[in-house]
This record gives sequence, structure tokens and C-alpha cells, in this order.
Amino acid sequence: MDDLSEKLSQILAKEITIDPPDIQTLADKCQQTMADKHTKISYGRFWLEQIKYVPCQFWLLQFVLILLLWQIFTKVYQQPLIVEGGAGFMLSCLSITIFLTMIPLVSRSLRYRMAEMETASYYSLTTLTVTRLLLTMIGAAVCLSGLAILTVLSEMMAFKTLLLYLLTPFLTTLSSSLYLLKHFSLKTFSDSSLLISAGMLLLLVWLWKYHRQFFTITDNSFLPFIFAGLLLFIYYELRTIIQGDKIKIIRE
Amino acid sequence: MELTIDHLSKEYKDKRAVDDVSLALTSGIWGLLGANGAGKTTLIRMIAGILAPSAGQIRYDGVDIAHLGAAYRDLFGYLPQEFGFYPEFTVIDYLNYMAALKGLPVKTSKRKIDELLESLALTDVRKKRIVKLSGGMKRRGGVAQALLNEPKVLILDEPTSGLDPAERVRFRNLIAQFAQDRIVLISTHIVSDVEYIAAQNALMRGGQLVAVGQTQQLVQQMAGKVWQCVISDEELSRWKQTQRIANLQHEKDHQVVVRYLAQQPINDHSEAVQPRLEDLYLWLFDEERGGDLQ
Repeated sequence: MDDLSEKLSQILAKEITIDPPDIQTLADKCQQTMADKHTKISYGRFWLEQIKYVPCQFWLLQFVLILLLWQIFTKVYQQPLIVEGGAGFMLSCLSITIFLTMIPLVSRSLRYRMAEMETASYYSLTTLTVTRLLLTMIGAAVCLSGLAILTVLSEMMAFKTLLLYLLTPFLTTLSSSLYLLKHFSLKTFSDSSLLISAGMLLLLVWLWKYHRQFFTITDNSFLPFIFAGLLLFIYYELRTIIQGDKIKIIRE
Repeated sequence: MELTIDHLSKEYKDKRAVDDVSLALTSGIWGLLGANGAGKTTLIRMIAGILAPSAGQIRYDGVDIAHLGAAYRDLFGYLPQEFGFYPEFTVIDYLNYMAALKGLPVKTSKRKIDELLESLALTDVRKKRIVKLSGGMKRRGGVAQALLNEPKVLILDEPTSGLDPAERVRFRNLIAQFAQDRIVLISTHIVSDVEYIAAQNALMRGGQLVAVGQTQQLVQQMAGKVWQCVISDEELSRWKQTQRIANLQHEKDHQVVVRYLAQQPINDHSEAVQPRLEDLYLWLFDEERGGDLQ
């Protein structure tokens, strides 16, 4: 570091006509400025740091909830599962439940009144919220994979059908929530995401009751397009949220 | 280094919380004084980038802070009026978490956290859960996080609320020491918090700046308007209805030493006394009697 300061002062002495002591001061300041610029942790490091701050209760909640619901669906509603379409209905409901477990962590800044301090920090509330969202999505991915394995092992349905019922409701709910996150305040996101999830669950119950054939689709050629569309939309929303620093505590 | 607030306004559906405020903040400690509801917190939230202005601009060294983004937040320290903590956090967890949010490397943050814990007398409680600490300690924790990144612009909204007198003095000394070559803006309605440390003050009322200037210059505006006299208890009850009383001191024999604000002395035995910032505050914010400097 001292070498750098000395080199800087030599360069500056050639370029600027000022007294040597001032050149040294200027060089020290330049060195400090350069050092400061490089003293920020990378986003990757920040992301890893945030794992420490996800309360273990959150991971436990996701795990226990999924196990519990799996038990309830397979034991209490054993009859409907045997009925054609029962497994599809069950997986769709579970996939939305997994999404529901993500909301408390994503919106905890507001609940504990940390949001103002976080907004004014270098890695703003937007970066933090997106990071939390990505972390919770990893948790959700583990849960969804667990469910997929259980389903395949219990020979309830084919893998392609499983993807339809397990991923479509999850990705649809996630897409709508990201849209809310981008266009409304964090508070609205939290409340509305709960409403959307509840609405999706009600829709599934309604479909199960009146249009059960919806859960008996086994071959859907549109499936890759649906997934691609939803994933593209999610990517686009995440990108624009990060680039435009779109997450706000309050929106007027 | 200059933070320029240029014709800044914030309008809500039914209210104009900040109304055409212009101010150039330079290095040193600034006091932002005003009664509750004067618009201080709204102004500060706009400076902190939490609220978007309805009109006007905030510039740091000539560049709009909206364009500076993370670079602005990097040189910014902020303590909001109301804040909380995640329930599982100890003091050290909280400061490490905030250091990560400020992008500080572990080595730097560890050194800085140790320094701040020491200067804010939090070393003994560093491993205690923060929600279990007293209000004063929580606020000191909040001040510590604001100072973590050695900000060039430090904004503190009601920083001393909940602090006891000794903690207030410690806080004032810390800020006075810290403020060299930095912009420090302290928003408060407690005049004594800024009277002795703020070189400049801005006073807000109804969303507008009503006075801006160096503390001494502002105080000087009150010269010849602050009086003191001794009156009886009976007179006092009448005076309370009609005069702007700044201070009362009960003496023996039902006598009261009254410090009051008026354009002219009320009686012959009143004598002019040295004005203080608090007198100006009372003069401007005593709404019922319509205080305007004439």
C-alpha cells in the first residue's frame, strides 16, 4: 500500500506543480479512495452471509409443514387419492403451501421495522429482499424435489404429469407475487401474496369439486411452453426489480 | 462536500408534508428542529432515499442522489426515528448483519464494531439479545450501525429519545468528535440535543423551513426579545394565559422568577437576558400565539 502511495506521488509530482508535502497528502488520499472502492464485499459473499441470518425455524417450518401435509393428504384423504386426479390435486395444493412458507421470511424487514435502515444501506432493501427470495426458493426447491421423489416412489403419477401439477401452481403464484413486489410496496406484497395463495388454493378446491378432469391431464404438449413462459417472466421481473431498485417500503 | 436540497416537496393525498424546501448542507453538524408533525421525518426519509419527492431534487456534490444509487448509500449513515430488531439478534449479530448490508469486509467490520461497542459502552452487552435491552441501549445500538461505514453524510432522526442525561452527553461528544469533514444532520424536537454541538440549524414548521443559519446568528435574532423578572404567584396564573413563558423558577415567599418572550418588556422591573436557541424555538413554534419574527 505504501509503495502504491509512493508511486502515485511520483506520477503526480510529474503532472502537477505543487509542493512535495501536498503531493504526498494528495497521493495518500488517492490511495485511500482507491482502497475504499475495493473494500466492498461482492454480491456472492453478501448472499452467503445472508444464509446465516435466515432463522433455522424457517427451514424447520418448511420441512415439518410439508411432512405434515403429506401425511394428512395420504392418510386422511386416502380415498380421493385413489380416485383419479387425487394426486394431482394434492401436489398442486402442497406446491402453493410451499410458496406460502416463503412469504414471512421475504417480508420480515417490515414486520420487525428494519426496513428503513436496510433501504438506506449499500446493499439496499431490493437486493436484500431478492436475496431472501432466492434463498427461500432454494428451500422451496428442496421441498418440491422431496415431494417429487415421494410421488414417483409411491408410483402415484408419471414424472411429466408430476411437473405439471407440482410446478405450475408454484411458478404461477411466484410470478404474480414478483409482479406485486415490483409495482407495489413491500407491505402490499406481503398481504397480497397471502391473498393470491389463498385464492389459488380455493380455485384448486373448486376445480377438484366441479372440474375434476383438470387433475387427470396426463399428456400436455403445451407444458414446456407454459414453463418456459413462466420462467422467462420470473427472470424478467427479477432482473427489472434489481436493476431499477424497485422494492420500496412505501409507494404513493 | 455538499448535500443540496433543491425546492423539495412531498405531497400526500390530503397533505403537503414538505413544502418547497431548499437547503445546502455543508460539513459540520446541522440541527433540524421542529415540532412533531413539522415534516422533519418526511424530509429525512427523502434524503435517505426511502421516499421519492413529489417535486424537487437532492444532489450530493452536484449529482442527483437518484442517479448515484448505491454510491450514495455507501457514504450514507442513517438512524430512523422508529426502528426494531430481528428477535433472534444479539448486539453483535445485529452489527455484523448491518455491516454485511453496508458491504463491509469481515476484517474491517470486526475492527469497526469493536471500536463502536467501546465508544458507545455496549461491550458488556455485546452477546445479549438486543430485544431484551433497555430503550437507551437499543438506540445506542442503532447509532452504532449508522456509524459502521464511517459515513460522509450521517442522518439521525430523534437520536436521543429514550437516552438518559449521561447517555445524551456521551452521544453528543461522540457525534461532535465524528463530525469533522462530514455532514451530520440531527433531527429533533429537543433543542438541548443540538444547541451546543450544531454549528448550523434549520427550523421547520408546517412542512416549510422558517429559519436557517448558524446557531449564534439564529439566537441573535432573539436579542431584545427575552426578558426575566420576578412576579408573584397570583400574577403568574394571569401571565400563563397571556405571555410566552420560557422558564419558571419558584422562589421563597410565593415569588416566581419568570423568563418570558416579548417584543417589549411587560413591566418596568424586567431585564433583558441572553437568548438561547430554545427561546427562538418557542418563539417560532408557539402556534397559539402565532410566533413570527417581526
